Amino acid sequence: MASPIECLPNELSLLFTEYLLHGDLALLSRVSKHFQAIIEPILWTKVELHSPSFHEHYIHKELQETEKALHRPYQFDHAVETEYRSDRDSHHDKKALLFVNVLNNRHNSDPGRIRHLAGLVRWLCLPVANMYSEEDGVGACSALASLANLEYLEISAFWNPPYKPVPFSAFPDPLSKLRTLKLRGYVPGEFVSYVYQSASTITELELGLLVHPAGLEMCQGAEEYLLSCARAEERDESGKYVVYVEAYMAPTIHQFTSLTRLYLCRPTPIEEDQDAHFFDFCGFSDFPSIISSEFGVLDEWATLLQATRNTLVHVTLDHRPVGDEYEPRNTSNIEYMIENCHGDGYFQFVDTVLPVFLHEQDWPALQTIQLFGFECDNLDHPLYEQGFDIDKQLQERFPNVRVTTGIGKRILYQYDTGTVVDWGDVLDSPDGFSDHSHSHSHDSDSDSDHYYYLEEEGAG
Amino acid sequence: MAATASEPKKVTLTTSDNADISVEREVAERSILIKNLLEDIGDNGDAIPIPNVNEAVMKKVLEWCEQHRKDPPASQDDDADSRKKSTDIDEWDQKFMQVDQEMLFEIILAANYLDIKALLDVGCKTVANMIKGKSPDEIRKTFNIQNDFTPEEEDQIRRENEWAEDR
Repeated sequence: MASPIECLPNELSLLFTEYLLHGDLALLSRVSKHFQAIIEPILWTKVELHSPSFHEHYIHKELQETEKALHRPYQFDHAVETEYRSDRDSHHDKKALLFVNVLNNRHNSDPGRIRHLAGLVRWLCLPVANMYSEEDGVGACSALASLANLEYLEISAFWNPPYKPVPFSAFPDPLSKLRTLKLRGYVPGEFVSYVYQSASTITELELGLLVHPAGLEMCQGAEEYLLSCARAEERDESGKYVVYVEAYMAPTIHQFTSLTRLYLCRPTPIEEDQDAHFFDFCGFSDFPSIISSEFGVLDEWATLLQATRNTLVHVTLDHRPVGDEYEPRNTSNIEYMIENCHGDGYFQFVDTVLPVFLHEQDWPALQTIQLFGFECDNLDHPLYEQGFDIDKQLQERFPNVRVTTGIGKRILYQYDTGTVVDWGDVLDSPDGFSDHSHSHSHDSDSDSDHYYYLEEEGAG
Repeated sequence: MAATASEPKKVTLTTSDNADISVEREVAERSILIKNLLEDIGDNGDAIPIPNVNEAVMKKVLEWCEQHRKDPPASQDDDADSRKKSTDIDEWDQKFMQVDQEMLFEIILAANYLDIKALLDVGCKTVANMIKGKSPDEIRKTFNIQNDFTPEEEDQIRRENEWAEDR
């Protein structure tokens, strides 16, 4: 005889599962086929694999409300609730790997069963601890290609030395139901091209891509390796190698015909001589630079904005001034931003992207423009008078659009590996928050502190 | 009609096993189903048939309604992040729910049918609390559930959902 609890109609069983956390749901799914059938869609339809409140914690404070509205199904894991944020985050990297391994059928299950589970997933936010490792990165990308019903995809892809990129092969079917695409960090170009096949259905696009680190192994004489990566046409007039960040979009840009929400984020150079110093230090003054290569990205921003201005409702542009890890000299994020938000990248932006807003005729749907890391208003900054007062210009151009600005965040690179010194999401460096200070202080002159960061990443 | 001011209005409910229960209208109206019925057909003094609930369960449900007759209407804004819902139950309700499982699930079904959201919530929280922190085997024992998986099948489900487990 069936137990009374199994005689409840499913809609009532679903009610009491609302009070259970992921851990209990996973155990309940093993109790009987009845519960497995109820629990499986709960766990697999909307999957958030970052640790609890991860996104709310690291997002710009001006975007908190939008973030909360997503109602991410975090796995509340009280056992680690009291530990340090970074411990929790790396704990969840392991969860992400377990999830990906199921989809890649590492357990040799019935392929039909895996297809069934993959078909349940509509919404996925996936941290990838190391995009360039065979297991983690390649595994994640091939797993994603199996999610035939995916509508929302968000990836935060980290990279840790010493891995080099692993080549990706093309996937058979595009993610034809994709509506929202958010890519941050070291997402390989091949994968980006793959998801762009769904460009025409995508309504929400967020990009904060980092290129394969140009500084990879640079201090170990790996110049030949890098030369083999950089194609001939990526050498500019002065003979420097130019590595384009997110320059994968060009062929598909005009296929983004449904885009309503666009968020573009990029690391941006601050001043020329700092680059020179950075690369001289490593003994390769003509080394490809992530930082000096950004014109390609801004051209893409401009082209994308032009191509999508008929449908765009919300635009967010996020500049993150870049320094090497020794650059900040104990400044806080706010001090650093004030110092550097009028840097080279800012002037490039004014030349390349701003005219699209000011001169293109129609923006029929536009409601909001948000800017982060561009200008510091009302500050007694020596460069301020050189500024163009972007938000005022935009406000005059679009009197009915809400233009808001935020102080933004910086990005710091490790000088010997080229990887982002991350502390949170992949584009967040220590004290990368305008309203938040970590208990951990970044002492830029200490070797042991530097070592600490490497360890930190290695744990992930 | 002079007595109506001091004497509360009563309604009669007829349960599935043909028992008539007389109850104050305010108490019965904790049930949105009954409240709507009374508003739609008007209170003409006829007994209201409740064909899905028997006398024992109805009495138990009305006991809860009596206790909670003055509660403010439930706010609708707490269903936002469904995985964060608290399973805290107040002391009276906890004692009220100390019944055998058959009755517990009858109460849940009745609360759902009669549309008494707060009671349904208490019932669901009680069930959730009986599941929380238990292994699959302990859950089976608690609810007398037959394990219809082979060991291989159960192991496969475990591996599939391991990412959602606590460790």
